[in-house]
Parts: sequence; C-alpha cells; structure tokens
Amino acid sequence: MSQIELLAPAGDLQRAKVAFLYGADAVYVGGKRFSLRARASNFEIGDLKEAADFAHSMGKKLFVTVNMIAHEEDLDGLESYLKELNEIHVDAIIVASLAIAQLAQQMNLSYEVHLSTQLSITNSKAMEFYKSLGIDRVVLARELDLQTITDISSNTILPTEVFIHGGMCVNYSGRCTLSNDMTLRDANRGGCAQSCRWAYELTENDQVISKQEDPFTMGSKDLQTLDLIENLIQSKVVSLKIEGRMKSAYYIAVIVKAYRLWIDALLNKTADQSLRDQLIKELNQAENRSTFDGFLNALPNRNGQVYVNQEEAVVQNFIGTVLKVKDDEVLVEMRNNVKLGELCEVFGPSKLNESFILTSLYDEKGNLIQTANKPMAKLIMKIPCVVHVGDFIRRKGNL
Amino acid sequence: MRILLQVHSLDQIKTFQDPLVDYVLRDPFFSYKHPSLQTKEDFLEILKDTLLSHHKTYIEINGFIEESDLIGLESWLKELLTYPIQGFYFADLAVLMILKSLNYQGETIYSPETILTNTLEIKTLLALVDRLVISKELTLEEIVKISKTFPQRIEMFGAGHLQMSVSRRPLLSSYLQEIGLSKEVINKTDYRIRELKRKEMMPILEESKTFCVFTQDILNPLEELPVLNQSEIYGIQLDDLFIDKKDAQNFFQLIIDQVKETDLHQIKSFYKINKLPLFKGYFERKTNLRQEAI
Repeated sequence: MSQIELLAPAGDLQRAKVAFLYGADAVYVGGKRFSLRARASNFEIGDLKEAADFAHSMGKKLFVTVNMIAHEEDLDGLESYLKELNEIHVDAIIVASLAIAQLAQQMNLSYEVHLSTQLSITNSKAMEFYKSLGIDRVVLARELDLQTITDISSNTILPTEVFIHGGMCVNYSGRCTLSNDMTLRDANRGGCAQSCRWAYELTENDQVISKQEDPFTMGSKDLQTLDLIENLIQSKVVSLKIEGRMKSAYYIAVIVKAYRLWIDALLNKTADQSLRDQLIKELNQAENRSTFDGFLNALPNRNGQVYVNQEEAVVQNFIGTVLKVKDDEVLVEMRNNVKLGELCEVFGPSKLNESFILTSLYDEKGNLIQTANKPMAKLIMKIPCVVHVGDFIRRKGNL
Repeated sequence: MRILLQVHSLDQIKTFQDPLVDYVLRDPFFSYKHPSLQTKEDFLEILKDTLLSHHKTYIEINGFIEESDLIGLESWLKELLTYPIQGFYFADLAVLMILKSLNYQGETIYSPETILTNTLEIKTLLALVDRLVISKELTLEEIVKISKTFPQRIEMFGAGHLQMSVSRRPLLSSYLQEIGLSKEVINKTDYRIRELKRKEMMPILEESKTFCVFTQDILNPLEELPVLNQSEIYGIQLDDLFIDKKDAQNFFQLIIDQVKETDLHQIKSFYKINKLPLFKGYFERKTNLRQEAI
C-alpha cells in the first residue's frame, strides 16, 4: 500500500499545532476572509505564517481555504490576500471558484490550487475539464461510493482527496440555499444555519402524515470510515480529509490520532481487531453524534439520517488540558467535572495512554478539593506518569 | 429579452406560441425536476413537437453525472445531436467536455443553480461557454450589475418556485420508511414540508436520484421586468413545476406581455384576481448575514 496524506482541520493556531502533533500530515485552515468558516477562524495572517512555519518545521503542509462563494462586495483585497499567502509559504489554497484558481495561476504564485468539495465533482470528465485549467488537486463530492472513488482516482487525471470523518451536508455541497431562504444567512458565505437539521411537518395533499414524536428532518449522521480506510488507501486517493474546523482541540486530537494509528498500522501490516475496536471506541466517544459510512458502501437510507432529536448519553470523558508541568505536579485547565478517586489517563500525541487514579486534587490557590466542577478553572493534580504541556487529561470511562 | 420556458407537457407548447418564447426540455435520464417527463418516448415526442413549432429548443441536463453514467451520457448526447437543437444547459462540466469531444458547435449554457455570484467568476466562465444562468440568491442590484457587464450573455431563473436544495439521498422515502409508511413517492408533486415554527409549506420532490426542496412562494418578476430588460439580460426562465396549469398559464402570459410592453394597469388587474403565492425572491433580500451577526 502506498503512503497517503491525513489532512485535518483547525480553527485556530493551537488546534493546528494539535493536529500536526497528533499525526496530521497536513492541516487546512481558513483565514478571517474569503473562507466558508470565517466564523470558526482566528487566523490572522501572522497566525497563518506561524502555522505554516510550524508545519514546515515538522516536514508537513498547511493548506488555506479560500472557498467562499463570493459576491461582488466580498472581492476587495482578494489579490493582495492571495499574494500574502504566497509570501508566508502556505502549501496550497482550497477554492470553490475557478476565477480565484485562475487568478492565483496568473499571479504566478507558488502554492498548489485545490478544488473544494463545494464544486461537487462526481466524475473523471469534469476532472479533465479542471485539469485543463491547471488545477492541482480536487476534493471529490461526498456523494461517491468506494468503487467510483477508485475508478476516478485510478485514472490519475488529478490527485484526489476524500472526506473520511465528520459532519456531512445532506445536500450537494454548494448547491443549498435553505439557510439563505429561511434565515437570510448565506450558506455559501459561511453562514449556514443548518436548516436541514430542523424538524419539519410532512404533508401529502394537505394531510399531515409525519409523526409528531418523530418529525421529518433532513439531518445527516456524521461520517466515520475507519473500516474503509484500507480500501481508500488502495483506491489511489492521495489525501484523507477530516471535517471540523469548528471542533475543539481535544476532538481534533482524538480523531487525528485514531486515524493516524490506523493508517500506520495498515501500512505497517500491524492492524488487528483489537486496535480497530479500541479506535472505534475513541472515534465514537470523541463527540456525541451518531455516525455512519456515508455513501462509501451504499446510497444512504434512513440509517444515514438523524430523525429524532435524540438526547444522546453525554460522554464527558475529557477533563482538561495540561498547561504546566513541574515534577509530578500538573496544572490543568478544566473542561468537565472530576473528583478524587477517578480512574483517569493522560492522552498525548506520541505515546500509549497512561492510566492513573486521581489521588490528589487542588484548586489554583493550593487548597485540597474533593471535586472540581467549574469549567475553565485551573486545577493542580499529582499525576504519577510522564506528562507534557498540551496533553489532555481524561476520564478512563468506557475507553 | 428571451423567455425560456421549461416544457413539461405538450399543452405548454400549444399555449405559449409567442415568438419571444424559447423552449427548454429537461432530459429524462441525467436530470432532475422533470416529474412528468420520464420516458424517452415522452421526451422525444415533446422534443419533436417543439422543433416543429419553429421555436428555439434547448435541452437541459442539470444532474451531477456519475462516473458510471459517462458512457450512457455520451451516447445520449450523440443521439440528441441528430436533432436541430439550439443549445444545451448543464450543471456538470462533464457535459461540456463530452459535447466538445463530439465537435458540437451549438450554444452552451452553464447553469449550476448556485455559485455564479460575481463578475470575476462570470468573466472566467464566459471564456468557456456562451451563456451562464446566474445564482438565484442575488439581489436585483447584483443581477443588473452582472448583466450590464456581460450584455446578452446572462440568464436567470425568472418565475416559479425557487429550488432551495438538491440532495442525492432519497430523503422522503427514507423518512416514510422510518415511520413505517409505505407509499409510492417518486415523481409525486403532492408533498410539502413545514418547519415546525414557521408557516411556509414548502414543496418537495423526490425523483430517481435526487430529493429537492422548493420555496413555498413563487418568484414574481413582473415589476422588475423593465429594469431587467434594460440591463440587457439575455433571458429569464419560467418553470410551472408545482403550479396549477391554468394559473401558471395566466401568470406566464402576463410576464410575456410585460416583457414586450410594460402595462402597470394590467399588472394591478392581475394582482386583484391572483391567488398564487407570489414573492420577490432575493430581489430585495440580501442574504449575507453570517451566523455571528445574528
């Protein structure tokens, strides 16, 4: 099997570093302008430069999304922005606009131009068209099955990238204006209100046929494809992409590490059922959302939809992030409750997770406490194993 | 300004004989939004009639082409090219690539429903095709600016229920399965959805490969026609999908009349008797509010 890129999202510099440290080969981020997730972005040009430098110091890559479907009023400053991205040496931009792609080429910029999934590319003929325009890579539509991905990618017209994990638009990307119409928020300019996930009444000839307790909705389950990664590697796809520029650092760490471990195990021929089961647990507990394998195996049916506003059992394994380490004393910024006596573990990028029982817990002033329950509070824990700044402390729970 | 009429039935050809009107037929194999044109025989029958009428006839192929359909598409395009078709609308650039490979010399019109929203994008694409159908979510001001910049090369959706979304998933069938109802839903135009906190009853349509949601209200360009005419827009598309045929006939005929000569009195008279839920679409609604602004 050939090497393959693991591409992760990040909404800010800290999350970009987390993604790289936990095993992403490349990270995609959006700046504060011209990006669909401008809302999720904390990337000023200086942050983008730091992220690019960080990536390159590890032999990795930084991609920047310039994927807004711009209206006339949005275009001011585009050229200088593209130039700035070149000056800070980003490795690629991801665009949904052929005009922006051509502009980047005319400006003779050194980064690659990748076409976003917003263009819903579903066949090799369309790829030939985009190749003729000098595009370097395409992100395929999420609506493709494994065989089609293999057929298209094997043609090697252009390198292909596919989504392997995270939220899914239920509609063809870029072709939905539900949010525009229902909330005046332009989905193609980063304002999607996710109206597809709302509850609706369904009528047939003016008679209500939907169930009050289980209303009609178009919300999709999230994508999760661990069991199909081997097939995707064999399909000649060059990049496996995780969705979620608005997700937390912990989420990114868990998801990236799980896919990193699995890809490496497959490539090294050490993948086994035990590792697979452990990673599936990790993926399922990273966030409380139902998942499925998208279009890869079959056209989604009711099993791909989220029909009832299910109150999923909230999993709060994540306790906090390590801010400082001095001997065995660790300063942690808390996210979820923790109490003395709980079985916890250190979750870091490069090692097996080490477990410990929490036997000492202090508030920031050094007062011994039994329970901590104020999110964002600073806690001091004594942890009897190797811990690094940036590691995550979590409850062992069901993991 | 041309009137580009989506033809769903033979009746429409008989009704709309005005020389201002060109006909557009959605193909039955690689398109959606054609619930009444399902078989090749039906399609070819109407195609032959439109050609006999001596109106310009266009074919629209608006679906996303799947890899496994490329060979079938090429063979279908070859067959279509044996007819004197004026041009092709398409949403997938694979159609353009195949037409080029077949040495097709007629008109090409790129119509991706959304994503054509600024002059930079449009200039780039007009280097590759003859005309473009611009996005629906544009204000009148934006439409006029684009149209004036590229005279006679821009089209827009002009009247009918606005399509809001298109999914590859069979969302209606899946839901009915979820609640244990068994119904034939494909190509049926009887279904509506209403968001629980809103009043609007939005038409939905499930076809063999798509599921679409449309606006409850019908885009009405009557008062904007003089401005659009002056902007040198090439044409506006009219689609009577989900509209009562008689009501659509009256409404569309009025639009055709108004394109030829503005008569505000006629419009006012129409409004007095009209029962269609008309609205102005995005003509005066800017949809640039982002989530953080709410």
